[in-house]
Amino acid sequence: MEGAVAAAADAFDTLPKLLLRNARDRGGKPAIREKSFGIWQTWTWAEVLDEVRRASIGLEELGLKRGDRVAVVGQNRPRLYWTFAAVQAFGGVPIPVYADSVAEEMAFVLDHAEVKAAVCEDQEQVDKVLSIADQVHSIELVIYDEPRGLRDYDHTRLKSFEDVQAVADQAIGRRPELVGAWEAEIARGRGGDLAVMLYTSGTTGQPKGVMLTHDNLVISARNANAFDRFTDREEVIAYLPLAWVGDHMFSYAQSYEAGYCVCCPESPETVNDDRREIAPTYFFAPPRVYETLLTAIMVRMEDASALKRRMFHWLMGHARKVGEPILDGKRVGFGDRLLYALGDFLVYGPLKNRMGFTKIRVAYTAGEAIGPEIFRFYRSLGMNLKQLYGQTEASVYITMQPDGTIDADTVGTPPPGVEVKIAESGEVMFRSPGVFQAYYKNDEATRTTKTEEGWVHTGDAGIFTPEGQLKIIDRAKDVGRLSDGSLFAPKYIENKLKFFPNVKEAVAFGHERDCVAVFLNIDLIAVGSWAERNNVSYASYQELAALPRIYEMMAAHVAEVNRSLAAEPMMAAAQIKRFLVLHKELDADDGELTRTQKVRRRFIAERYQPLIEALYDGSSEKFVATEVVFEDGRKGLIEATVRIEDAETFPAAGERPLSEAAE
Amino acid sequence: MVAMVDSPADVRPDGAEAPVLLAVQNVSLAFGGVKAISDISFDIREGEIRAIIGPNGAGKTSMLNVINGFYHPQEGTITFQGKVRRRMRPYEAARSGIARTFQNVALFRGMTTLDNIMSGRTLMMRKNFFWQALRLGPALNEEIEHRRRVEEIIDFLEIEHIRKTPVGKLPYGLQKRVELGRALAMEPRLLLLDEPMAGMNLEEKEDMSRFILDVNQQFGTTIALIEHDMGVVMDISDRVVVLDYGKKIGDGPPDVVRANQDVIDAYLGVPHE
Repeated sequence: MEGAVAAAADAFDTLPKLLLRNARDRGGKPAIREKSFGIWQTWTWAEVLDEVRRASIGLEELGLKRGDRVAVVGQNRPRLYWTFAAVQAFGGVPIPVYADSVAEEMAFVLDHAEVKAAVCEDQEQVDKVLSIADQVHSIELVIYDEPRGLRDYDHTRLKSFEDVQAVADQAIGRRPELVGAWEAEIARGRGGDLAVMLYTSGTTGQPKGVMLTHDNLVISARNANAFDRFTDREEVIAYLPLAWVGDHMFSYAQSYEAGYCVCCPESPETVNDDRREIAPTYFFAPPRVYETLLTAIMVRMEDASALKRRMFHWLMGHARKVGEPILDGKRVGFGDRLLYALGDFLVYGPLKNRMGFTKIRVAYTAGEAIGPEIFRFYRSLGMNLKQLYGQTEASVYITMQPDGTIDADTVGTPPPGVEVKIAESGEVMFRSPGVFQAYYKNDEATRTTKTEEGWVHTGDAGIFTPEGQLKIIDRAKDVGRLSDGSLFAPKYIENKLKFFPNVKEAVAFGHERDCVAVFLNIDLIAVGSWAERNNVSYASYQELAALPRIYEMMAAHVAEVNRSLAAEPMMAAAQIKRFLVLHKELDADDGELTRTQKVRRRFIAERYQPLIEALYDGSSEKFVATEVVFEDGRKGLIEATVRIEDAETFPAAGERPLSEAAE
Repeated sequence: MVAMVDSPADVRPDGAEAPVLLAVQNVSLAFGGVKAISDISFDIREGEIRAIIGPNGAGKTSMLNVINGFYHPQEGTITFQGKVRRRMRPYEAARSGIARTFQNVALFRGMTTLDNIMSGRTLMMRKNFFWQALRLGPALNEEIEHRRRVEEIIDFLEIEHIRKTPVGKLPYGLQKRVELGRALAMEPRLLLLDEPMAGMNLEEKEDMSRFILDVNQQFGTTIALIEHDMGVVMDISDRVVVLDYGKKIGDGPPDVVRANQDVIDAYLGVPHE
C-alpha cells in the first residue's frame, strides 16, 4: 500500500497529468472510439490531448476558472469524457449527472453543486437544463455536443462544443503561449485536489454529492489495474451511466491510468451489437445485464431446432461439470478436457461470440447479488467472471475476487491498500486510499458515514466466510426479524426469486410479521416468449401478468425457492407463504426503483400499502389504482384487481442436526 | 450531424414572402360518378409544413395521389417548381424531387432497414448495370457514398439499432420511421406524408413530430402532410388546408383555421381550446 501511495505522489498524480503522459508515451495508440454513421471512429491519445486542450482552453476563455463546477449530462460520448479532463485541467470539478434524470432531480443536483456551466449531449438534455436554468442561478453557460434541433435556439449563453473549441483555436492563434500556460496549469494540480463530485442516486432522501480527489481516483485505479494486470492493450465498452462511480472508474480513471482504449456505443439500443464488434477484454456489468443476456439466449434456444437444443443442453451440462475447474486451473481428466474443447468449438465459443465475450480476460459484476446459476453459467463457458463489492464512497473498490478463488455468493477479499472490518452491528466497514473526502455541503451525513479514523460505514450487513471472503447478506437496515424472531433477509429471498428468468423483480415483506410474502414482476421478454410459444394472447403487461397460467408458473417458482430456503437452517423459517404478481412493472420514473434499478423498498411499501395488507389478511384478491408517470411526464392511473395466492412451503427437514447446532 | 443538402439559410417563412413551390389550380378528380375532389386550389410554399386535414373520405389521400402523379385529375393543373403540368407519372414526380410515404406502410418487408432506405437512392445511382453487377471500382465507390448518406439518415432518425433488422419484424411505429427514412434518402424538395402518425402511441407521435420538424428545419425540406391528430397538426404546421367532401372549406394558419366556423362544423365539432 505504501508503494502505491508513494507512486501517486510522483508526477502523475492527477488525471490531466496522466493524459499528458499517455499522449507522450503512447500518442499513436487508440484512446477512445465511437461508432458513428455505422463505422467505428478512433481517436489516439495524441488526438484526445488535442481535443481536450482545445475544449479546456475554450472553457477558460469563456470565463471558467479553478474551482468552478461543470455539469456533464448525457450518455457515453467521447466529448463528454473529454469534458472531464478538460475541466479538471484548469482545476475545475466536473459533476456528471444521470442522463435519464427528470428536470427536478437535475435541478437539485445542479443547484446544490452550484454549477457554472453544463455540457449536454443533445437537445433533450439542453431543454432540461434550460427549463431549470431559472432555479439554478449560478449557471452561465450551456454547451452541447449534438447540434440537431438546436439551430433556432437563443445562443446568448448556449454554445456548441465546436464553438468552444473554435474559441480556443482563435485564442491560441493570437497568443500561442496559451498552450504552455495550460500545461503549467495542469502541473499546478495536486493529487489532493477535488477531482469530481458524484451524486449518489440513493434509495432514500436527496442525492448526496460524494467528493473524490485525484488521489482517490488515481490510486484506486492504479491498484485495480495492478490487481488484474490491466495494460494499455485492454478494450472496454463504455455504456453505463457517466454519473455512476463505476463508469467513472472503468471508462475514465482506469483508462487514463493504464492507457487502455474505451469504446462508446452508437446508441444505448445498440450496445449488444457494438459489444460484439468490439469484443472487449475487460467488461463490467451489473447482474441485470448478465441476466438479460442469458434470458435472451435461453429464449432463442427454446426457438432453435431440436438438434441444436439437445446439443446445447448436453454440452452445457458438461461445461457445468468441468468448466469452472478448468478456468480455476484445477486438475481435470483428459477425456473431460477433450469434450470441453469440443464443446468450446461447437457451443461455448459461438455463444461467447454472440454475446461479445470472445476476448474477455476479466469480467466483473457488482451492485447486487448475482444468481449462482447465472454466475456459473458464464464461468462454465470459460469466461473469467468475478465479483467485486464497492461503493461511490470508496472510489468503487472495497473487495474483489482474486483469480482462482471465486465463489458465487461471496464478493471477494480486500485488495491491497483496503482494510475491511465487520462492526458489532454486523455492518461492513472499510478504510482505503479511495475513501471520499466528504459529502458536499452535508456535514451531518459525512459525520454519520465516516468515522474520525477514516472508517466508512457501508450500510450493508455482511460476514466473513472461513476462507476470508466477504459475504454480503443484505442492506443493514433491511435485515429484519419475523414476529417469531427468525432472521428475515428480504434481498436474499428476492434474489433467489429473481434468478428465474421469468421473474424480473421481487419485493419481499416480513419484518415484524408472522410470515414472508412477496410481490412479483414478470419478465416481459421471457414470459412473452413463453406466451407466444404457447398460443397465449395478451394485450399488455397488466393482462399477461394476471393470467391464471402465469400464476401457476410463478407458484412453481416460489415453491422452488421455498424448497431451497428450507434446506438452509438460518433461512428455513422465512419461506414465502403468499405472493401476488403486480399489475405494473416497477419503474424508476414512478420512483419505485432507483436510477440504477434497485428496489426502493420503503417507497413501495407505502405506495402499495393496500396490497401488503391484502397479503396478510387472507383475502384472495384486491382492487388497486396506481398512479403512473409516462415518459413524457404526464400522469395516468392504472387500475386492476390483483389476485393473491398461497404458496407451497416445505418443512425444514433433513437439516435437523445443523439447525440444532445453530440454536 | 452533417447536413445532407445545403440547407437554405432560414427558409422558414413567416408570411407570404417565400416563393410557391407547388400550386394546385382548380383540380377536379372523379372515379366514375364519384367526385373525389372538386375544383380545389391551394399552394405549398418553399420551406413550410403544410397540413391537409379533413374528415374521412374528404379526399385528402386522393389529393396527395394527384400531387405525386399517381392519379390524373380530369380538370385543373399542377405547377411544381414553375412547370405547369396536367399529367405526370409517379417516377417523373420522384425524379423532379417529390417523395412520399404511405398511409399503410409500403416497405420491402423482407429487406433490412438499411436496404430499404438504400432503395430510396436508386434514382441517384449513376453507374450502369454492368458495374453494379460486378460491384467493382466506380460502382463500389458510388455505393460507399450512398451508404454514407443512408447512414446519416439512420443517425438522424435514431434507428441505428435496427439497421440490420428485416423491416417485417419491426413494430409499426418503427416501420413508419423507416419509410420516412426511405423518402428522405431521395433528398426531396417536397415530402408528402400520408398520416405519418396513424396508429402510433403518444411517445411515438412525439418522436415523429420532432423528426418532421427537424427534417423541415435542418434540411429545409418542404413538407405536405395529412394527419388526423388535430393536436399534432395544429402544433407543427405552418398552414392548414381543410377539405370536406372533396371541397376546400378552409385555408390558412392553424389559428385562423381553428376559428373558421365551417371547419368547426365539418370537422372539429366544437371550438378547439
